Amino acid sequence: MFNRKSVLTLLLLSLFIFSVLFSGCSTPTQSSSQTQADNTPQTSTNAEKTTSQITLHIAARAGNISDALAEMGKKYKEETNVDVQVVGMPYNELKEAIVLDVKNKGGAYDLVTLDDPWMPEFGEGKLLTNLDNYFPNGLDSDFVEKSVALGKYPYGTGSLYAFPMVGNVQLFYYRKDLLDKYNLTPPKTWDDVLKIAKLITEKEAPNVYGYVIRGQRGNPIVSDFLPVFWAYGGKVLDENNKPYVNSEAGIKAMETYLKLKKYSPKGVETFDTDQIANALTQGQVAMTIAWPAWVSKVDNPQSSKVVGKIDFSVVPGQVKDSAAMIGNWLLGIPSTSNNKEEAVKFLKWVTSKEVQKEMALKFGVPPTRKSLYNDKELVEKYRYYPSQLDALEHSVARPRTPYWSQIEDVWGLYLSQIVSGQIGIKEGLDKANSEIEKILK
Amino acid sequence: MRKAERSIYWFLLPSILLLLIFTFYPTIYEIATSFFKIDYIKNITKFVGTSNYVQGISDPLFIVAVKNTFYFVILAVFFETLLGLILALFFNSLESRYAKFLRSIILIPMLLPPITVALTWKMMYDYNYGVINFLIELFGGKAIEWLNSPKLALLSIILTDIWQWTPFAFLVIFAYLHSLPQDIYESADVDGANYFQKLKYITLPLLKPTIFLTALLRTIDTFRVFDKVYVMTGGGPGNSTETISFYIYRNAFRYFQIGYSSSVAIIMVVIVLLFSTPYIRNLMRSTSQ
Repeated sequence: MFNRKSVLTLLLLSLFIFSVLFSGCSTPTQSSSQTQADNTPQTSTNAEKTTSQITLHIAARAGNISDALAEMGKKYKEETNVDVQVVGMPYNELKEAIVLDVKNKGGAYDLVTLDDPWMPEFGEGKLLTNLDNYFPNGLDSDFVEKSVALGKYPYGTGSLYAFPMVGNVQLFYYRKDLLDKYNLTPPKTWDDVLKIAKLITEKEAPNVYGYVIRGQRGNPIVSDFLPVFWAYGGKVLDENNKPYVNSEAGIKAMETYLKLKKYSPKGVETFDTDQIANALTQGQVAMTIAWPAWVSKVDNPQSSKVVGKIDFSVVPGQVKDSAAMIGNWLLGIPSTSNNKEEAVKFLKWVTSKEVQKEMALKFGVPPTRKSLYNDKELVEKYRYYPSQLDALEHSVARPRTPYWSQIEDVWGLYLSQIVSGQIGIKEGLDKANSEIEKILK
Repeated sequence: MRKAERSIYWFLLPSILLLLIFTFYPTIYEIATSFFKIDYIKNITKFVGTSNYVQGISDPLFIVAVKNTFYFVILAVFFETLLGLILALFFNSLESRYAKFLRSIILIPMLLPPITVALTWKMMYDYNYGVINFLIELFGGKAIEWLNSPKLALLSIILTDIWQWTPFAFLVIFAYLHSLPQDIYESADVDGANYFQKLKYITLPLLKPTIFLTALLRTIDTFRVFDKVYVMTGGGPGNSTETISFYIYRNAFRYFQIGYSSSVAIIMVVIVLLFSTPYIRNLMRSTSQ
């Protein structure tokens, strides 16, 4: 009975059970963060500088935001001897990295930039540190109220979890010189936009196209399509959290959007931030919706071929008045940071008037302080700042739901399928709506 | 003798432990997780039995991912194996030192890091600035929307995969081909056989197990294709290039639905097993002949 084969089997079986029990008992913890390793005590003669080497790690959106933070980080180190390391990541990877780090208690990041639509999800998941105790009087009144509201959970009324850092709000950009050439007035409605786009494309293509849409699946196309959707009276969710993306408004908005595609350069199905900014600054398109943070270079002679030719306005309306979409990047402290005190200090410093002004001047990062939008130096460099402040103060935020990521992804998928011709408008929007319903169940 | 045999088990022990901890345990854990609905961020865990599996099979997006993956696997494996075979036959007939040098160069694509390959091809495929369209237009053709067109995007990625992994097929088949005994060919020559007759009646039958092995290895590997999709198209345009791995990734790391993505991963394992079984059976049969 006890032959070699059964002994071996028994051995393997017991090993298996043993290892299951073994690993099942411990909770997965990742190795402690680098910040711990960097704490080497040193005596210091300078009373103002900290006495041990602390490093703050920031997870930021790759691009001008991470560049600005890195540059400011160097300055912060000179002033306080606290080292600042910035890790720049693309949009989706950033969210993934933050969530995984906090959930696994890795403590790798002390500060994170987050897109404001992520706030409900992060708030519900308790991913960020509650800042109420550090700022009992809230943020000073210089901050734009609508931006401050984004950093609170629940929206507007709850505790403060993040500072607004990048005061982005969508603006409508157009080539004044081209409109003047054909005696056109700036568009007020999307019908106007279509008329102008058709004319310019007919006369100027393939050098210049009338419009450019941002058609890449997911966050890009949803951010680009929402203002049109809203202008036609569309509503993503009603008060009872029921979706209506396939309403009449949705269909009409998509018909307009497809016409805009017709007047756009080729390849817009995969266009994102870089391509839009490029199209505008290289003079390839006449009109588009854009976030000011990316197109700050339009008046920079080193990178723009259309210096001084671009003008901006609020996003066109249609049945409803234009509603500018707000999209601020917030700066928060993960609940698992090992350097919360130092992180709070940096948070205060980096959103101060001087630092915000410098980030705006050097990197085109729009501030979240009202006074800076009327600052002489800044307005001289960025003509559109006063309009941007106006837009910010009358802006609308995307629906505050913890399921926004999934909704945006699914809606973005069907929108991009409709735009690339894989599915019809009604069918695509109906499918999107039913998928969103499933998510919210 | 018995003492020596018993010590074998002790030598095996570390590997068995590692295997159990890093392979067996995660697999069992994943199967267990697949029966729960887990939202990673909000910390919600709810037992839902088989409803994740039902949701997976009935999700039209998953069906599209399966379709794309099968399309990818069948085309990629077929051409990689075929081209690898042709290259192996070709190089087998060359003997010069130049041929040996050329052989090493051919292997380069599969030695490169996959991400580098994906990024470089993505740049080459770029509609406006890529070198491929540049050359096409230089010779008077019209630029092609390699990665932007829902019809072509998947084929473009498949082309990159073929470029990268044909050398592997070539390597495996060539090694075996080169080691075939020459006397069969000599007697065939005596009987007056020409090249194609030798190919059909001697070479190919002898190579059958190797060809199947190559196809099997490439199938299992290609089924999991993720890095190229992630880098080159992100699943787009629409979801025309979304493969099963990408679908799982999206659900696990964008929506953080751990339970659901585990169940889809298990479904994928089952599909791969079903798909590879005929291969393996064929392989077993060929080698035992």
